[in-house]
Amino acid sequence: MKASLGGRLLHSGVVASDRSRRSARSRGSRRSGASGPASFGHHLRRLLFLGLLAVVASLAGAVHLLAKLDLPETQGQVDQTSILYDRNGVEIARFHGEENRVPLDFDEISPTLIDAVIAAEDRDFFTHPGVDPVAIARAAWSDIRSEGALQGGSTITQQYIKNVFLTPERTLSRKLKEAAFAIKLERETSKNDILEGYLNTIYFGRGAYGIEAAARAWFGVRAGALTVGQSAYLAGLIRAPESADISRLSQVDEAYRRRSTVLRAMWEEGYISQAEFDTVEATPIEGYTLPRVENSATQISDLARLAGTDYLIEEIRTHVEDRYGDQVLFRGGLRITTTIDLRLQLEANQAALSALRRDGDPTAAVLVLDELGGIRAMIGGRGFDSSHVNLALGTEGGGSGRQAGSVFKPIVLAHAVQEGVSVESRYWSPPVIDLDGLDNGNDWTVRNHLNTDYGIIDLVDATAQSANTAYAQLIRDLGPHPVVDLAKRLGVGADLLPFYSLALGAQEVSVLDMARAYSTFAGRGERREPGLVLEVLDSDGTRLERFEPVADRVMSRQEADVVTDVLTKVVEEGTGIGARVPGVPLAGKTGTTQDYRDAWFVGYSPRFTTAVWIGFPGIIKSMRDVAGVDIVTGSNVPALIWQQVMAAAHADIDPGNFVKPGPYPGTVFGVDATIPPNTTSTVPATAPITTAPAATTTAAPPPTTTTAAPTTTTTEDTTTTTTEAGGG
Amino acid sequence: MRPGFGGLALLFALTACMSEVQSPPITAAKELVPLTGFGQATLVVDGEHEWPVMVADEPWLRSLGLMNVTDLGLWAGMVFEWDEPTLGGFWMKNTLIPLTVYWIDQQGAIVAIADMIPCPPEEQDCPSWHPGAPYVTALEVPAGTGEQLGISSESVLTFRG
Repeated sequence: MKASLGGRLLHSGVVASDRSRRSARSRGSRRSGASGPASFGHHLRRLLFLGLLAVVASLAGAVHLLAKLDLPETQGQVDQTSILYDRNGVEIARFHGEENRVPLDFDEISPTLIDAVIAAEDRDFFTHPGVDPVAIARAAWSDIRSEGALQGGSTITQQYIKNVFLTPERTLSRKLKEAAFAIKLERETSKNDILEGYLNTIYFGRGAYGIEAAARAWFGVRAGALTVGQSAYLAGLIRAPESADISRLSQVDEAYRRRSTVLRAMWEEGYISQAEFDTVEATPIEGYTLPRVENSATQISDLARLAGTDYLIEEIRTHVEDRYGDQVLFRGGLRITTTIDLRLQLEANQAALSALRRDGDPTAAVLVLDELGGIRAMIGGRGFDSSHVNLALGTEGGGSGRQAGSVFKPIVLAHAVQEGVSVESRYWSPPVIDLDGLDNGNDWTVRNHLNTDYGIIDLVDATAQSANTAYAQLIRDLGPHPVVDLAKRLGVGADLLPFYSLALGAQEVSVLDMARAYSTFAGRGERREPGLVLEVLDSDGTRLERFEPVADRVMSRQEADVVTDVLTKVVEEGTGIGARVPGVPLAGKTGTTQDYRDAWFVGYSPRFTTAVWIGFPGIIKSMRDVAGVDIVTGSNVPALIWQQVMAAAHADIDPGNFVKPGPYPGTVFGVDATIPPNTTSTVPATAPITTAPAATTTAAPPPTTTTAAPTTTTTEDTTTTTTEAGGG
Repeated sequence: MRPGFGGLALLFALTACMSEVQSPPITAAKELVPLTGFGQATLVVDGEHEWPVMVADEPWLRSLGLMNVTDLGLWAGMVFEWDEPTLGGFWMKNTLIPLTVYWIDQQGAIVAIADMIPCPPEEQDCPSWHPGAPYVTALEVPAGTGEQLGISSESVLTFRG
């Protein structure tokens, strides 16, 4: 639709090249006969679209007036380095891209590359007058519907104007200027010169500005010799060059998707045949792409290198590029402040590395959130030299999720509390039980760790000791569906299926998922979305972005306080005793999955929530005789790392206090301690919740105290912490 | 700079206290395989005694040191190397065993010695030990083992490999 309407409304009289005429022919042949019965919705959409066009037409008047102005001075002559700081102003990294630029004349550029860029970015480039109103209208409509910032709809000429003449803000005024100057430039400059300027200035990733530098950086060839496959890949990189590098495992799928999109566009425009399409599509990109050399456009400070900041820098870089574009990040002089506390990041990295320091040891992922959702530290693995997959973010970081193990139990507990079940409710917790028909119609066999017989145990102790057979009965009585619902509301982003084994953490989640969910408990029932960027300022000091904590209430304060109170027992006297930090109130839970493949510790103080995962990334492998222990469980190595991270996080600050819930609210259900267990399955087939005789209701007391919850941050000089002090 | 007998008693009491909350033991390999990333060398004491040591010669290795290590296995200790003389101190953050550190100049002479105890986790400030003189190499060994290695305050310590 964009091409045909644009051709009809805006035939500017510019002489079209053979290329554009060829594509116009192919478009016409494919669009004939494309009509169908009109519906009411169709009419409504058409009316809205026409209305939007009218708005665009009036804006066009303003653009026409603006087009009488002279072009501004170029902005791109002086590149400005963007700097990333930690929350205390300590420099983490610099982004710059002034080098690696080799200008070419138009005739030196591969025609194939030009075809690919035209097809990908602006199919009507050779016919429009600099702007494409239909594309703008469509983009505006999309923005209105999504209530987001202006996006898309720019012609190559507009992109060129934006890159060379204008500042990076994303406002309607900037958009109008961009359109006006594009028209102006089209009147004064030939299409070929515009295209030449565009291809010599845009950023293609890997520190390369312009097509010649890009051809060399990506393929080791001259821009005049680019093949169809290389051209399609490069053209697909233009919109977000750093997020589709075939050398990065997490971006391989995106690299292939982008190349396919451009190839399809080239075929649609008649630039390549079906046979060429098929041949290139079947050719691995890896086969003609050079390995990635460390991005010379990003310089990481010495302290940040020590702190293992590869993954968080990558996250922030992607975030800023997505919002403002590569050009702005690498040339716009941004001042980016992250939520990260570099001192804590350093200590978390040291804790993780020093606990897993022998060849063959597994890898740790760590995430620390503050009470507002700010990410204070993030360890995504051993560093980019080992893997680009950010294990702290699970699928969001390019990897897969991992089984949660028993760190999922508090979510089941939280649902029970919400349902009015007292945590003093009891179950018989034998070493092993068979629950009728709960495993896809078959009996579900559940065992306690080390086949421990806990006897009759209430939910407080069942949580502290991580009693599987008790929790299996609890989810049998509650049902898995509402637990899935609560998990999602608490912050678990992974797709969960309503299976009973959910209670024992049989499904895959990410470190971020668990940190987010537990931080909701820490936040007394309010979920806060984690964020990594505190503030972004442009080169003039104008604030472009600021971290705005958003809180959604998921549980009542009292319900969350009850869960917290139970989880404090885990640390004080249960499986998490190795995680204690003297003087800091802590709540948490250990988790260990089948055959010791994953080990977790997730927990919180009133100030910080920290999740630690340990395992072998990408493979199923038992953690036996590694990390200096016979078997890795949530109670040992993860608890050690967690303890050291939390000790560091609370150095020099008031840790605050948890709010005691008073007498546990809800109804006490459960087996009568005098009744022996069933001799066959050792557990009644009927749900204790519906059959328990000793139901007593306790009045829900009001919260007894409130936490001070100050939001002060440490202000010590993070640059002097440990760089000179050799670790003992 | 060395603590007296009372200091050692306090040191062991603190270590015992630590063991209640610090778990599990993270040990170096029993074989002579250095911890990941670290190099290895031979410590030569007065030209007579030779002992295997791990080498930390990059900033990130020096910052890790012997954190979370409770058993060095067959390694006598860890040597920290700098390219130029330095005055920086050492601390015992997340370090689980008491250590003796020998600061050594370019000629192999010991310029200072300190016995360092682990930082109790409840302490907000982890103290640092400073030699008070320039050095280019520092050797850490488990506290009390220096004598077994043949090291005295007058020893010349060199490293080979």
